[in-house]
Amino acid sequence: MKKALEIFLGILTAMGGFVEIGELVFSINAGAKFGYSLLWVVALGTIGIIIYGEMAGRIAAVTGQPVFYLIRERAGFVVGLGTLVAANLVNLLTCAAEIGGVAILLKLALNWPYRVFILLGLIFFLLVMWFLPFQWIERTFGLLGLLMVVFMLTAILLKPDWPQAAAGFIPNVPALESPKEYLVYAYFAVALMSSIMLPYETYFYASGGIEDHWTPSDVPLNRIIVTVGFVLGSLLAVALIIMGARLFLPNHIEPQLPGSAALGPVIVFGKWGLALALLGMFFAFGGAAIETCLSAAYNLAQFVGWPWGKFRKPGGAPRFALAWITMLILAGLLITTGVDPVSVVEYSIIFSVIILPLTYLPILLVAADRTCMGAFANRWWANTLGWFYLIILTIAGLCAIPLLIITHGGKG
Amino acid sequence: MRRATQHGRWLQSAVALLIIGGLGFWFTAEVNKPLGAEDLKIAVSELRSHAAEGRLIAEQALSARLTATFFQTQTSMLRDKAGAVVKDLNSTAPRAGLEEELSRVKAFAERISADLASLSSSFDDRQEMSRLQEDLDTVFRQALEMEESLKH
Repeated sequence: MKKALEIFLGILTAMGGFVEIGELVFSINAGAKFGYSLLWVVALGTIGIIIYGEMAGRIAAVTGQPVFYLIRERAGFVVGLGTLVAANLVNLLTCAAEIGGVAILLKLALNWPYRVFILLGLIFFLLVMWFLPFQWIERTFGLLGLLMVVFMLTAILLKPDWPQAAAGFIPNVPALESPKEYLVYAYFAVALMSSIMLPYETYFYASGGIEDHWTPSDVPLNRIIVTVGFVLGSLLAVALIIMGARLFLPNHIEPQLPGSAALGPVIVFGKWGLALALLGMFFAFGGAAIETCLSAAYNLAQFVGWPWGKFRKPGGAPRFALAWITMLILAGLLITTGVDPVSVVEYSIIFSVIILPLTYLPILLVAADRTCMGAFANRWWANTLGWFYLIILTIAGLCAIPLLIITHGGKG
Repeated sequence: MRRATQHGRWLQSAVALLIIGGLGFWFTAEVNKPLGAEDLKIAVSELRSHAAEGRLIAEQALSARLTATFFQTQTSMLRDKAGAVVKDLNSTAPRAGLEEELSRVKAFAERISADLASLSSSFDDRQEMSRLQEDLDTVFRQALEMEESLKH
């Protein structure tokens, strides 16, 4: 009974914590620009994050080793250090964008000055991370993030063209007006893929397995949580694309603000829809802010070998605690400068694609290593899929910055 | 052997630096180049999107589906976005022959920005809100036409 409840909560938490500000912005805009035709990228990205999330969780359960320990061990100090710096810069940008997103949502609900909400948000996150244990943080934000289900209901009630939406899951390139439009399509495909496979999700998930003291007996639990949780979570991304296609595309709107997303639930459910959408986004962005912040501290502590973990009191892992506090403050300072959170997250997502292969290669090598993983090593099909995704991500990583420049950040 | 490894590392670092430098140079050149027809088209499509969103928000507010706080804040943020387009247009010189188009787009951006500013303070005045909704609808249609003309 306890195990079943653990699986159920794990699935709901993974689902509720799947969408953050970047995925929200790119998914809605993908639908607003290209209708249903980018849905296949969500399917492709979801299979990818399931494969690598499962491997990272399995390694954590079998060897007790987190991702950045493996990166340093397998890739060496120099490449490992490069990956650490890049990963934590991306974490910093993402965390700043999530804090900015939370402040915007609070402003939409209460209309106090934006910077006051940044400060209040920082204090709130600091208190939550200091006092709440890991499982409480994960479950509170994950479960309350499920209020985002209002976007799924909205997508259904907006009566999409289901056969056309189903056709969108088959890889396709629609007929577009100009060569530039094809590049914008490619930019959105790369960005959407990156927003689904964001590296911090793997760092956080594997570190979470160690926080929860997983053992090899938890390997099946890990498999169920990543598969069901991430598939259900990706349905939220699908719903956002459908909403973009049904509501924003015919109205010629390309949403640039988190509040624009709430207009879908407003049209379908009125003021209740607005309240649920704002609350759902608050917990989804808030959860992502905490996860990116903790991820940065996990990465650093695992790389240099400091004691780490939320299961330890801050006094038991002082350098780890100092790392996440510093990260939170830096992210707060960055967003206080007045930079647009949506622009920040767009850059963080594009730069994430570049470090994805560096993050996933060591995971694949260890998960396939029989001397290290024994009977839990990858089967042939997991290795094949792992390499397939690594090749795709490398190509995406090489194209990301040129596409960002040529398409003016997807604007055309 | 050790020398060869060190040599390889230097080479890798040099290639990485060259790629990063090249991308940085490309990015800076793109940002600093004079305003072309393509940039104007991007500006107009942003303005068209803001006008359309303003129109949709007004429509929902008129059906009593929005709170005053959300309405005021979201429309103010849209006005800021339109204002940022005006600022961008003012800060870059256009390519030769595009001066007239640029001044048209600027006037257009200022009109949308002003409409959104008035809209954000119209929550308690349904008549004014309705008028602004119609005006945003008109500028939205003009923006679509302007976008089309800039494509050719």
